[in-house]
Amino acid sequence: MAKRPPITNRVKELREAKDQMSQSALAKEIGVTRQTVIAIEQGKYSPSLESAFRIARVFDVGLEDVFGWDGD
Amino acid sequence: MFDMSKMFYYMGCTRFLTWGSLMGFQEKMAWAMVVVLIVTGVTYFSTVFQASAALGAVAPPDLPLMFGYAVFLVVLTIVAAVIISVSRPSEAGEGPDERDKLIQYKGEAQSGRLMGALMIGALLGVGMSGDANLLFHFVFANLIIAQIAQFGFQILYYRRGA
Repeated sequence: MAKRPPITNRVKELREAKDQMSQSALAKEIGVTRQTVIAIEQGKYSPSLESAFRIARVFDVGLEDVFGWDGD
Repeated sequence: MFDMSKMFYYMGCTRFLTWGSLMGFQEKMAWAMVVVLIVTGVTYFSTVFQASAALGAVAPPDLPLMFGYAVFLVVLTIVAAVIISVSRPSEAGEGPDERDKLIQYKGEAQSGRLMGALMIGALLGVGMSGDANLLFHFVFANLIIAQIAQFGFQILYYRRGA
């Protein structure tokens, strides 16, 4: 099993809080595929800085409200 | 009456459809390319083996056979792409996103290393024998193996995380 990236996120939580926004709708907003949103939510993939900013802007919150650091 | 076989059949279908929906177009194409490359590669080399057996020596490179291989590969790739596109039209126009591109780069890097190792092995192992025909077939096989590995590594990164 691959080592999980040390970046945690609240994407699923924020997405559901935003009127149960679908993964497809979020994917469209940030310009990635639905499978990439799934991978981000599962912690299997850390998005690029640009996509991270786009996600934060969709939820109208700061970057650190979405992403956290869980490493050394 | 309750039919267990039907239940397992539907469970299998549901599982397959769920699995299919978790994969994007690029990952499905990677799976398809592994199958296509194995099928075309086995077909090509079984013909080379048969020709070699008939000759009693390693068969020389056969350009019409290679051309046929290339056409077979292209046709099967197009067929696979059409089937995948038709199965989920909403994803058909999707180009690779940042994760797909990262996975493609990683797959290419790993297969490049593998191809380098295989080429050195072919040069050392076959080159010393002085049989140019054998060397040609080994190098051609290495190219196909490296391509299969490239898509195999991509699938691994898609499943395990990039």
